[in-house]
Amino acid sequence: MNIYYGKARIISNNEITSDVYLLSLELPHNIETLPGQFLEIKLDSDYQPFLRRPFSIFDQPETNIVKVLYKIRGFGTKILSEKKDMLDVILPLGRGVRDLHWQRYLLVAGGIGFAPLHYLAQFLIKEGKDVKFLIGTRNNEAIAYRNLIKNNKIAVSIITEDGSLSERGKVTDLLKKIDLSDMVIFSAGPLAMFKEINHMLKGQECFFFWESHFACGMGSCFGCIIETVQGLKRICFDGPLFKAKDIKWELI
Amino acid sequence: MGTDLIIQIGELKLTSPLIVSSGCCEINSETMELIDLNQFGAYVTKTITFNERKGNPMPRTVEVTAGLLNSIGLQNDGLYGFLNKLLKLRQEVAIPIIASIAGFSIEEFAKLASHLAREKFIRALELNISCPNLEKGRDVEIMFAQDEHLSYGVVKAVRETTNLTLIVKLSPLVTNITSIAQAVWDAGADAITVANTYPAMAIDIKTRKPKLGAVTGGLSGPAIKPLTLRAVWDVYQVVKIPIIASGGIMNWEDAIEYIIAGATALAVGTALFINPKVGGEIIEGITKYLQEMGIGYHELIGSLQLD
Repeated sequence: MNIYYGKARIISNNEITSDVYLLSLELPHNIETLPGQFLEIKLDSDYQPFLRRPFSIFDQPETNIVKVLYKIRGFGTKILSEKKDMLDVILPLGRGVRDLHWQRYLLVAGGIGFAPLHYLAQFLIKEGKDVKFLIGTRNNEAIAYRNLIKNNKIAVSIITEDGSLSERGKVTDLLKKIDLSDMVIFSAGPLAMFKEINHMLKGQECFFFWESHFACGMGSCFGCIIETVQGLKRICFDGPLFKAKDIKWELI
Repeated sequence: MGTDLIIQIGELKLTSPLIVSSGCCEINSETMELIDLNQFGAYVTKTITFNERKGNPMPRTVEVTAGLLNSIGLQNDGLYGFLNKLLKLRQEVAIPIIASIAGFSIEEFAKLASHLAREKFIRALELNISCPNLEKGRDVEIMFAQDEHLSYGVVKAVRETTNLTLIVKLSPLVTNITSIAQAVWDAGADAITVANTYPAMAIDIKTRKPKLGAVTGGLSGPAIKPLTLRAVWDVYQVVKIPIIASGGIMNWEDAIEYIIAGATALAVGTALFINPKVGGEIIEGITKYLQEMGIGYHELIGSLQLD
């Protein structure tokens, strides 16, 4: 069995910085997941909120433990932050990252986009790859995010828009200072950041962790499409990662 | 499954009264792990149009209170695209396959019907005369299901092309669903699906823009159950052909309500997004209920107690 659908025990669900929580879940058996894949979590009582909510996998420290890093953005995430015992989950969903043939990786995180990139970084280090991680946040979340990176082989640079650190600016300001030759970029964060990064590319391979609202989350409804050069793709099932050069930017 | 839940829809004998609603379960590696199709009596395809369709701009779905708005816009590979994939579909779906079709004219409906009826893997047709996501002017002048005469005309034209079991999916947002139901029955329908989604919308008050890219869409989910339940009850009074209830069925209790109102079969769609195992749970719930009530499935159909 590849996908687990059932209850997961909440090991912990704690705020690590303002409105950002780290959720640790124990599953009743082992599961295999890939960076970029996500969980669909049921949060309702009496159909409110009606749909499940998707969350990227932040880490999988054991074969039956999965972690989610999330920010409170609305009704659903607020409810999640108050959960204590069990959750009804479906995971892993999405194609995730399949091709890791490069040697040098640049991970560019805008805000809570840090979450799926963190899992990718773990994976890459295990595979003996070189990883540079840029994290940019509005306020001082970047500091808390950097502290979540346990592996010291990852070269981390952080920046904040509010000047909490000496470096003030956006993550793309950090990106401008880097020699991108021989590097492949993986990025997650706001759409505006993706567009900026896309403009900065000079032939480098670049992948974006695309975000969307999902209705079914499992490739059935075609409600979450993105236009690519290969036609319409489903963000939930065919993605959530898409190559920058495949995306029809004029239609975004 | 016990023999007590076998139902007849036209020429089709279904081993379960549950039907997978059109557009709610694409056959892929994830859905086939999560959803047990053997709990269902039949599978309805995503609506097939003659030409390939890209569908509507994003956003195509919006969550609302106890429901879902969708404006997919009938994205599909077109008739030939569908036919090219039909063998593969049949290899993955063991239960009877019902092809949902939508034409933009009566002739187109008949053309689609005659092509698909030739396919041995297609056991029935569901005529989608009620999609709320087609653009007035560009796609259709008027939704067929809004008009008694058009509805009659479409079903008659399709009936003349084939003896295959014909199911007609009505729109619930009409002045008088019973006259539409009678018209399609007269025209030769074998069963009626009550009903499609409700034309509806949502607005983002920060931007003052519609939440759906296509402005309006179809509402499904628990929010519509009381409305469609009433429609099933009304249609049950005027037709003698089976009714497939479709509207907010989330659990076995919802299914029982619909059967009491007059439904022979239950279409489950949106519920699969939230609870992929809903099929088995509904069958188990219906079975237990029938045992506890000491009543058979067919006795329950339309057994609303009025005095």
